Amino acid sequence: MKRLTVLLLGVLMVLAACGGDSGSEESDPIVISGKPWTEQYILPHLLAEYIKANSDYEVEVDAGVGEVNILQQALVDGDIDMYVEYTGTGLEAVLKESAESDESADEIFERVKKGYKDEYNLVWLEPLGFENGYTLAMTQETNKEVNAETFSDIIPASNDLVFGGPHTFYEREDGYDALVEAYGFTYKDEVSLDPNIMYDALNEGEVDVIPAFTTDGRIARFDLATTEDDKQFFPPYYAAPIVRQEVLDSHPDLEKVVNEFAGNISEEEMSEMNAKVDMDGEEPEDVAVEFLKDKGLID
Amino acid sequence: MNEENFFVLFIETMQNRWDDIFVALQEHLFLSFISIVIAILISVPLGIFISRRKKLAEPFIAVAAIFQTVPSLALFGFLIPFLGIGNITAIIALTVYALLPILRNTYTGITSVDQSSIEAGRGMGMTSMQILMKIEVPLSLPVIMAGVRTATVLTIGVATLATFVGAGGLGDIIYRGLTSNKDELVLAGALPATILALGFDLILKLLENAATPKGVKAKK
Amino acid sequence: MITFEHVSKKFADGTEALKDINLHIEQGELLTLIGPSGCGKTTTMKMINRLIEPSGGQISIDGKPISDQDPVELRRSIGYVIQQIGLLPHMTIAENIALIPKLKKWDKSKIDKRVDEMLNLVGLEPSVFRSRYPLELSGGQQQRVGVIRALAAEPPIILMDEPFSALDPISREQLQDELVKLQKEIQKTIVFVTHDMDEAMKIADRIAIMKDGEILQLDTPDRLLRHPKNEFVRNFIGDERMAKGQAPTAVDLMIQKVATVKESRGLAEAFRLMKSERVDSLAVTGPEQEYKGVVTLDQVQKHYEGDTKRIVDVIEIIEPIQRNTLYPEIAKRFAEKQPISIPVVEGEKLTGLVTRSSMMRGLAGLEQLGYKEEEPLNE
Repeated sequence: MKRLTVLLLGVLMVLAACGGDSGSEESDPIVISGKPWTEQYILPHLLAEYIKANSDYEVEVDAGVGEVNILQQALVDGDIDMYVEYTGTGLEAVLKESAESDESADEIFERVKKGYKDEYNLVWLEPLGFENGYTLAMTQETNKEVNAETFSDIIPASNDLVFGGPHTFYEREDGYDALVEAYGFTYKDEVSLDPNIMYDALNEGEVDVIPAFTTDGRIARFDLATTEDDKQFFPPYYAAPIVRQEVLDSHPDLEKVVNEFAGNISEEEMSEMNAKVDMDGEEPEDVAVEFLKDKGLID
Repeated sequence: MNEENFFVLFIETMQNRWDDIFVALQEHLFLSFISIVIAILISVPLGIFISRRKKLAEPFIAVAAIFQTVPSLALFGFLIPFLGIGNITAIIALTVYALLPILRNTYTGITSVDQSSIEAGRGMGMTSMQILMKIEVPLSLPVIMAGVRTATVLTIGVATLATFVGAGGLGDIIYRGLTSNKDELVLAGALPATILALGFDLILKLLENAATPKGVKAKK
Repeated sequence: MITFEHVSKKFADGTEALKDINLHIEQGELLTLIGPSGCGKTTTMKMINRLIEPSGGQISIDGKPISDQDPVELRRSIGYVIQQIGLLPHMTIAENIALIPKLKKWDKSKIDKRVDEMLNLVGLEPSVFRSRYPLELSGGQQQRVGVIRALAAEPPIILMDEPFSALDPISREQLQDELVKLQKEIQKTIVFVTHDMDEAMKIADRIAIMKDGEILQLDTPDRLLRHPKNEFVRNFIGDERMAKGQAPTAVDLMIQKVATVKESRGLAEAFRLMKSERVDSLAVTGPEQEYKGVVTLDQVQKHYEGDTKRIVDVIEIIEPIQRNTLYPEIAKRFAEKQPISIPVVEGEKLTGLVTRSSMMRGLAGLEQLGYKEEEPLNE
């Protein structure tokens, strides 16, 4: 009897381990994920609440799973169903291609959409309406010395500046090494930081330059000086949801509903939502719901 | 990805990224070393002090124990609002973490020195300092060294978390690998850290043996 | 050389360890302090090198109060040997012996010479033992090193706190003998604490018996045996030891049941008593058993005519002896004065009678316990 129990338990455990299957059914909840920083904590809730209000589908938010490489893997494995990515990231970090200097943002979007579908059977839905790109940000005080308006302006001063960026920034194809090469920066030192303490590090003077997100609410709230990517090193980063084809198939109304939501968020609006979480301490979910209600997208 | 591929990828990574890894290794050594040295400089005199005032021993050791029980990541986190990020924060956290083994072993070592040796010394006319330096310290050195050894291995391990306060170290490499889903990079950070810990453990074990007075080893 | 004047010690918890110690230790003598545990012997000794400070009174060495001297310097001029030996295990034998000379900053060559000298003194071959470690030596060897370590810096005074008590009996005896021999050579002033009376008897020039923080008696071993001051001292020394070491006393040689008669009685009664008791003399006692004299058969017969005579008229006074009178003295009395018997008193009370035959009997019995006659009986 004991032997049998052990055997049964063993089988059950193996079955449980096998559990995360890649298939999908209509009754399964749709799992929306994201990266572990503020904007990406808010976006899944925006989508989730909107989808729930406009369909019968069950939606789950599994936020902050990881950066692009991890999320990509998770999508492919079927551990998550959807997250919001940025076109430039998709192009360079996932498809490992580079943007041509004369390509328009729309062209890049189409390219990425095709590439994802062909290679991974993942679908890019319509852009949400804002771009979240990179700017090299400094404190106003630092910029008094550096006096830069564009990235190139920073080059001569970069000898004396310490660069601080998230760990992934150093590992991405569109990240630190490529940036430095493209512009010829000669930073004094580079520090790996969690993106959430990046701004504190900047304000405390531990680092001088950070690759800030253009929609980060802290730029405005901390009154940081931003610079422009004059050489167009970074590709456009338009935000759009990407989703597994199987989920679209098993949830026939999903594509329509999500695409209805497209174009509803501007940079300012995203930036303000971010600030509410980072500076005012509000919960991402509450901020998302507030936005949707204010805009009449849900009741 | 099959094992052969991974192995090749790992070797390549070690080669290609060696500069980054080496910098991280140096930072790691620096953080660990400074923290251990400071921990020794605090704990050994403190251990001697509380061995003279046994009533204080328990509270002091208890406080050091609490510091160590706090999960190391949390300890780093606690310090950020007060000290900001950077090397200083990391060193303070690592030092605090290393206090307990050294403090406790110093106290235990000194108090377990055979009292008859001390009494003979005092009766013959040795001053308290002479008794400390010629009798108590030499006889408790092996135990103290064992504490230092434990603390060192601990510190090298916990120093991988220094990356979360922007202090660099091999944790940088590990975490970069984790966040970019590059296992080979994770290993490229973890392996040197492990080797570092094992290496120091070995060196300190040799030192511990050397510190054990011959006469004590010669016990029949 | 070492003087204690009205020294007392009260510990923080209220224990009165020493009450009023007055003591003078001569230069070159080996004094043992002995007594039951808690008597204060170790406390007394530890005051000499100021490991314990007195609560009252003063201790002086060569006339100078030790409270005026720096304790550390003082201790370096006094050798110290303890029961647990306390050799430093991480140092070689040579380093252990050289400990104090090194602190006193002696010349290295002087130290080396001294170490060898000391090892030879106790029969430990220097070439073998110099570089050994304490834990490689037997207990007896270790304590020998303990002793020579104390001697190394040539201190005039040595304190020894039950130094041989933790050793096996054979080593203990060897070391006691060696100490006695050594002392003949080096003539140090030694204060030796022990709880072993045999040891004290064996090695001491004088013994101080202590109890409850007081010195009960301070005497040479011989005088202690012959004249123990009180019951406690007697018991402490032990009957056996006394029997082994000294002459028997009147107590050991007397008849306890004595035929007595009151002095107011008549001669006829005396005569009758003597007949019934089969004795030829009677002890005359007063109403409270106090000794008055002796009446002999001879005297009774001589004065029998004439009804009127009473005992008091024929009483002879034989000088009585105290209970603790020693045999040689008793024997001498019999020889010189030729009494019939000698009454034994305690204070004024009659407690017994010594006759020649009771004396013989007593001696014979004691012989069995090992007493050897030193003075022949001269009769």
